[in-house]
Amino acid sequence: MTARHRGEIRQASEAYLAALADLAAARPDDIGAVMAFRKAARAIAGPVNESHPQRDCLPDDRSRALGEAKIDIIVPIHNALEDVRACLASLRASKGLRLGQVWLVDDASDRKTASWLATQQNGAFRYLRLDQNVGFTKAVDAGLARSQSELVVILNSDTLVSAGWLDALARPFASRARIALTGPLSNAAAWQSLGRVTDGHGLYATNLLPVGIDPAVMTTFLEEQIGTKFVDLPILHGFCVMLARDAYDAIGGFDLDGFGRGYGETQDLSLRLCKDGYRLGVVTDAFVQHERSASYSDAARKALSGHARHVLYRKHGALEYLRAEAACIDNPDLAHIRAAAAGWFARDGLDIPFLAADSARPTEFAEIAWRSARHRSGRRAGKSVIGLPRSGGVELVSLKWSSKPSLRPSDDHRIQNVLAEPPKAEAASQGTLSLAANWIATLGSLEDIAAGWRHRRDTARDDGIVPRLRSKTLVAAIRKVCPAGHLPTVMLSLSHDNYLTNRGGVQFCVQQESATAKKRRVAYLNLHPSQPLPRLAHVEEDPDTDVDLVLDGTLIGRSAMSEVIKATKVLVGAGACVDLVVHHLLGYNPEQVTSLVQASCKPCWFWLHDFFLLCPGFTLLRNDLTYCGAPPASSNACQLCLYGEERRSHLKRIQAFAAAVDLRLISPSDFMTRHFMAMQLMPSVQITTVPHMEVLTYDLPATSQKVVDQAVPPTIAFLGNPAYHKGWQVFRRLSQDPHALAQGIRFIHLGSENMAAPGIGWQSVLASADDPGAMIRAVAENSVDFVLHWANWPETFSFTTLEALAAGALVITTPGSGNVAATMQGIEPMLVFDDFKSLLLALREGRLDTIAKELRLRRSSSSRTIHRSDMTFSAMDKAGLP
Amino acid sequence: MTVYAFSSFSFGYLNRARVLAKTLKALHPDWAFWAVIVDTPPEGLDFDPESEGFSGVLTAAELFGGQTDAVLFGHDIVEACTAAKGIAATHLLEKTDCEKLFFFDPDIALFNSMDEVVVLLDRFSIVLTPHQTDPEPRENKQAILDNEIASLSYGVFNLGFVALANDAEGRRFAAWWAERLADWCWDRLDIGIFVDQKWCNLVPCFFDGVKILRDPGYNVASWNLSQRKMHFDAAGQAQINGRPLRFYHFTKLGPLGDQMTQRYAGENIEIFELWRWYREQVAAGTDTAIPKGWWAYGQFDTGQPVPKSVRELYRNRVDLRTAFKSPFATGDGSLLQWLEANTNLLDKEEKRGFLPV
Repeated sequence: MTARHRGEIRQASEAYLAALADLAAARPDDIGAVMAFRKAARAIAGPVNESHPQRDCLPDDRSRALGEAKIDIIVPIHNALEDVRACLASLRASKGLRLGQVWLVDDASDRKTASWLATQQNGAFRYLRLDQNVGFTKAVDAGLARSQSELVVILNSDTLVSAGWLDALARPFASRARIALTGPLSNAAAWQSLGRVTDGHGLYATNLLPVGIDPAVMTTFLEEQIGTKFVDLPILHGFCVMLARDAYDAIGGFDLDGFGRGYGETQDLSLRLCKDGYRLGVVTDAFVQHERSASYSDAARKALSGHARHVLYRKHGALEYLRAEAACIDNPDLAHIRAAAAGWFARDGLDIPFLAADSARPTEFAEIAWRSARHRSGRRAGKSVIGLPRSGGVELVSLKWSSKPSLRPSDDHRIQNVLAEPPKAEAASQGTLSLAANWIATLGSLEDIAAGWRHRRDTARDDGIVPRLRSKTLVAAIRKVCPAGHLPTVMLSLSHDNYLTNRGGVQFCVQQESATAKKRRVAYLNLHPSQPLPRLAHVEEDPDTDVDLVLDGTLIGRSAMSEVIKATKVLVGAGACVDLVVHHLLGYNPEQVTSLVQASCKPCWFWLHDFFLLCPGFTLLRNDLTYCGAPPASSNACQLCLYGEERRSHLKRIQAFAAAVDLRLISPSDFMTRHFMAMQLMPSVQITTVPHMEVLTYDLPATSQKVVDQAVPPTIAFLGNPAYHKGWQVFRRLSQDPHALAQGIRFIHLGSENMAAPGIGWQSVLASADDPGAMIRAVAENSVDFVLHWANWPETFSFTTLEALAAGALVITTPGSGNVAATMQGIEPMLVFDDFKSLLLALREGRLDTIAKELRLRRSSSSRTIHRSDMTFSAMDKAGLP
Repeated sequence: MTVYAFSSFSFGYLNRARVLAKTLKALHPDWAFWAVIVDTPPEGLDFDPESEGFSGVLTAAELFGGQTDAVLFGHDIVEACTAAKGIAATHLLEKTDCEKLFFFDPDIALFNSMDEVVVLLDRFSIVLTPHQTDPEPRENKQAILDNEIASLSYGVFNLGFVALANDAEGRRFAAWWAERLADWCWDRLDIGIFVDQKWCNLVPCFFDGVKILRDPGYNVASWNLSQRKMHFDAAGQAQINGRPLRFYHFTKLGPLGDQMTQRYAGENIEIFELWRWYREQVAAGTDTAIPKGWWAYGQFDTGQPVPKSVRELYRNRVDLRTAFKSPFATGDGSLLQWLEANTNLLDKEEKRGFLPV
């Protein structure tokens, strides 16, 4: 290309930009025209980047004077009291040594705001009331008229600052000559924003800060990762600027006629300062949070913004202004900071894993984030913000979780905004990262989780509601529910939570056992730790754990374990029969449980509902992800696992407990009995197998057989708690397979929580002691052919598997699912698939459809009934104990 | 006779070195593990080497004597910590009970016994681990760029690890290593030098008894993850391509390291589990008494940072080194004063505008 050609191209580009600028000038309210200019300016990078070359000047006497000047702050205020309160609180907390006076210019706020502001006048804070509402710029001007300082900050009242911000903004004035204006970085300040500069409509974006991130955190990040830099710009955003009074005065200050009510005044000032040879720019180690436009309605903001553009174009020429604006938006140094911020947010330890998400499955990513948030906070309900991957960036969504054990963000969660836009190369590489890796990235330590659970209790403040019971009162309460004239017969049952308010397999078992006790006229006292924990209690933090007490289905109070032990001794001493069963040891000191068992003078029945005897991670999922098989505690696997460190002491305490009591293990399945024995943890302890329920099938006479509708495609259901370790995500993936959609396969979730997952229907079902057949009925009523139960750990028992069979459905599972696979291996056709791929193949080849047709015929010609066990009572019966 | 090991670091990396010490001592309690500390402690730091698993400490002052300030002023933090490695090796090999000597970067953690290498040192004098031990597939250009071409630029062997027998050849290597690092321990890719790594490309040419250890369980890091897969066997031992994971090099803890790990670990969840553990360990080993970015030799006596360009100028000009023996000093007649009067290097970074991270 010759120089002449280059010149011609440049000339044509200039003409094109000028034409677009003219178009924008003709339609100042039309953001589309502005966007067209920005796009073209970006494509023709040369002129934009060259339009404001950096100048460099060494410090001079003025710089030295400004380096020591006191700094006044002017905060124009018009209503929005809550924002103002927060702003002033942050100002008071971040004063710095150079702070002069803070001028609170009340631009005719309402009475409530005005009277509060008047009370704020103390120390450095001065109150100036304007009786007429004059608008932002004139209010600032009124403040400037009072201020005597050579350096003045103009600060919006909907901002939050943090320590060191004033010094950072002031630093360039001392180190360079002709600095006139400096500004900070922010979350919502056009090109000074970290996150997105503009939204999808070309308007300047408001980026919400992630949970737990405040201006101080952002400032620390900037100080550590970016350092003290100064980025020259032709225009600064007006939400927060520090200006040198001499420069301001030299160019005649704000244009009060053109921009009296606000918007555009700082842009105009910036350009005029530039034209007079002053420098302005952003300091990279100050971050001021901006709520944006607290004082203006959206409509007023739009009108002011349109008017400002109109005046700016007129004063400076549309081409000049738009070019300067584009230079700011596309400033490469600020782009680098935004990219660094995006990368920083991707690190561990934050609530928001911004990046590293699987862009193909954003909603599942949200589920992972939800699990993480809930797991770490220990709160059953709450609100958080997570990053969802979208093309070219990450969107922040608000995520609300409710009180049920399993819930997800529904698809209608409100998209709040976008904070981070990772560089394209990073986004591409992170697109391949699996959900599991995301999960790992958000895992805290076990002690973090325990702290979260403790916090949950602290915030629940339920201590005053539940009465505290001493041993004497407890004994009296137990005697009261026992038949008069008889020695009390009591079953003490220890579980990890309140079976009346929480749902799950273990809780269902306790409910069933409690109901049996009632039938057998045995007083049933359930204990569960008042402070739930994800591990055993530690003696050093809680030597005498509190337990909540549920007597015959009623919460009667709270006692220290020592009081329960005393009460047991009293009862036994009086001749009562006290049996004891442990459903779970989570949250207990096993040493105290040993004392309790010894007080009962009876064996300790102990349910193998899961693998808690082997590891505090009771599903034996290493880092809650991959089944580990309980290798030696000294192994690398345990070393790297969330539960590894705790496991060492856990095993010692469990072994000591087992050695000190007459332990009688109860296993809910042959599978678990075999599996546990193979692990050789307690080879000498006897295990009794008591399945929670059994399904009995019998043929129907021909006359009772129903007509089968074979025209409908198969129905696949997911039952109960949609948890990761039960295969909910596999169900989700299956439901989104194009072949499944093409075949018209119906997917339905039967459970207590509506996941609102796309393509999956939902019916509210809650099986409980009051209505134990609810799930079976729901499966039958929905003509479910298959139930997917893709557990990634060896389930010791599975209610939902048997409920599915009882309703005439088949269970699709995988070999590692423990008793689910063991149950299904005896049933033809066997739907135990080695991996998801094999399952998908069966679906795509139409095998599921064929099996469904056979199944329906079989279902129509047979009937099924179930038999439920009496839980621990069944084990005692088997052992021949009264 | 004793196996010696050492690592070289500033207090800013003490948290990582603590993890190394803990994991090394757990597997080899009988080894003598020395800390080479190219730094002086910040005020208020309670650092008791013995209780933290270090058998001894060599400081920069002990290694460089009266030249310490001049030597360290001429190097940035990475160069300085590397420059100390060679001379520290010669010091430790002089210990009468030192039979074998290992070096580990502070950001390494050991997971299984190093006894195999101890035995190797009965037959070899020098053991090195290459960055990569298996070629990338031809079609994976990104991996070739990230890994193989990077090795061609930065050095074939990763000098985060080296093991030496205290024999004639091992000592000859250490002496040569120390010499080169004394004069040329620079991050100067433009002239083909990258601290000690590029020099060690020459090791198989210059020395006998060199073992190039290609076992995939050693020095696993983001630069070889493309060809190494981790899993746990039934006993819970971490395996890399079927061999026990000996040590992992947790290079670049932060977004950059994460990015490379994510790129090459793919679905290998166990690698992410390693990182999760490491982050937690480093966090636990982080001492709040050490300010972020602490390096005592990072600034002039007044606290003003020493720019890299100033370090380069100083190390390249013998007149400055002769005239200013205490380059960190400030005040009249100081190097700082000379720099202010004669160069614009002190505000160079600001004049260049913004430096991206």
